[in-house]
Amino acid sequence: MVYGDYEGVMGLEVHAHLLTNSKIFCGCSTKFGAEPNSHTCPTCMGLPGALPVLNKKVVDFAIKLGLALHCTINKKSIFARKNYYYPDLPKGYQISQYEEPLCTDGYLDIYENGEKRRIRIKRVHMEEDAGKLVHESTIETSSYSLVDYNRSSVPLLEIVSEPDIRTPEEAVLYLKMLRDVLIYLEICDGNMEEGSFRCDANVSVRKKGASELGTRTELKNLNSFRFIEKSLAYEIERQTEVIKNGGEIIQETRLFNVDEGITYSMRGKEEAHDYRYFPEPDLLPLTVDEQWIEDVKKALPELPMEKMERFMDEYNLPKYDVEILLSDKELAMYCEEVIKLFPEPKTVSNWIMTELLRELKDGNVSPKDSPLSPTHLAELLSLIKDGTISIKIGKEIFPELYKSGIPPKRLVAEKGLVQISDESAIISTIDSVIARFPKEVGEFKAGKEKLLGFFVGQVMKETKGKANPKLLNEHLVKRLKS
Amino acid sequence: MKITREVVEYVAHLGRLELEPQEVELYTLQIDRILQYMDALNSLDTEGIEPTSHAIPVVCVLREDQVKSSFSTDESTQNAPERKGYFFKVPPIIEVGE
Repeated sequence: MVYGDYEGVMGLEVHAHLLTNSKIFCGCSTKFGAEPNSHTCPTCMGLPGALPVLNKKVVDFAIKLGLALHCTINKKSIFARKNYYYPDLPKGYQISQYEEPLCTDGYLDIYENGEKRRIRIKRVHMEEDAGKLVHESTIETSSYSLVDYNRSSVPLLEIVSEPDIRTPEEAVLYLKMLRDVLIYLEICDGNMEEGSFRCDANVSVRKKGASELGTRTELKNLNSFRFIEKSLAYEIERQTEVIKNGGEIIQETRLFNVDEGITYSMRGKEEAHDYRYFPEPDLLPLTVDEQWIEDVKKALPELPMEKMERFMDEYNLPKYDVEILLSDKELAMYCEEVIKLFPEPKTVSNWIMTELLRELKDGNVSPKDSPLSPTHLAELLSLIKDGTISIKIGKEIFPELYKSGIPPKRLVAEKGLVQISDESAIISTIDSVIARFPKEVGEFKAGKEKLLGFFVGQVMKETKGKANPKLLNEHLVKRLKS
Repeated sequence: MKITREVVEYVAHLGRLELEPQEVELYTLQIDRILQYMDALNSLDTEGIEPTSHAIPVVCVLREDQVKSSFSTDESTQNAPERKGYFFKVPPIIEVGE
């Protein structure tokens, strides 16, 4: 998208649901999809007298993400009340962190057009989610709202970037990388449909090269990568038009309408939010000691960017392959297991990207549930490498290997697919074919060399495709020319 | 005056309090007196002293991530002024315009 002399400036706020068993301040379950209001108690419904007690795992997960994003982990942080009235917020305030959050000043690197771009992270803080409003028609036309507090007080991490993002495409790259980090850390499932990974965006435009930020609007309701890209593109264009025509941008919240592909101003009945943040008196300051941070650091897994670079450096795989293989953590793990057993990364990568991914996609199966185990794929590749079967046969039996789960060696033996590498057997088949097609032999000898393919085909037909292609070619040419 | 009538009305609105005019008058005076009293603290030299959000030096108590039993759906919605199934039923809030 080209906006002339203008450029977009975006900062993203991501809310990630944490994979804890219980809520952030009480023992209610966080499980998605339960009966409405069945995961509630006095604390998460804000009944008088109930007090919050912080879930240790939430802090653990927040430190994990903070370290992965190269943030400073603050030894002391405090919780705050964010006050507003809305039916999904039973207490009339959300417990969040405002001044003194747990993690500050980090960054996330992304790859854009083969180059590394650094997006600074302003802060990562812990907070509770609100309940869920359900509407029987659309939110615009419904005459009432239904409230389910199961989601109330489910732990969230809010990850706030600096306004370092310039294009909608870059925003999506950042979000994908951040989502991968959360998934690799095993602290969030990244499910956008269920709302486990949600994004709000602050968008403004300015003249290229200007250092001051323009007035921003906040976009909400961005629940898929495609919509995020579309709505940001729309909003940048809208703002650019307004400014070009001498208008002014109004600071406001806007909603993206998926069907029309445009953003709408979302005017509440109330005036602009004034949250009157103040320190949460029911929770004492949180202290995290060096030992805790060290323990989390030691247990950090390999992160997506590190894995990506290792796949490129150590395995020498092209970036295209790496992106596909790492798009799914399970697939990356599968790939690594096969490479351990069959250390020819490019071959492994080719087979996974074509044959395996086709089967997995057809059946909508996760790589970790693949009926063809990494061991069996490695075995198949070894059979091809040592010449027991041809690549062609390997591809032919792949669907059956995948579906049946039978070890490749056994299947190849049972079906009599072992490649014929016995030279005398191959030569005698060649001779019988030559004897059957004297006319073609004559033409070949007269210079019609492309007939070679015809003879190869005939021999393969005779041997049901089992003739070792290399030996076949070698001897066929010799016999034809003799 | 440390505080104006307008601020009192605004804050009352944020807290969804409906005040009679004479209450606004009364609270403006009372809050003003409280704020004047707090001013006494400003006479202390707090240079170099870290701000505290709590009065005593204790730290946050944490709990392990264990699920405990919740309300039953009947219990959780029993005080609802209006309900539909096991949902709370409330008036709609947002208006969308442009």
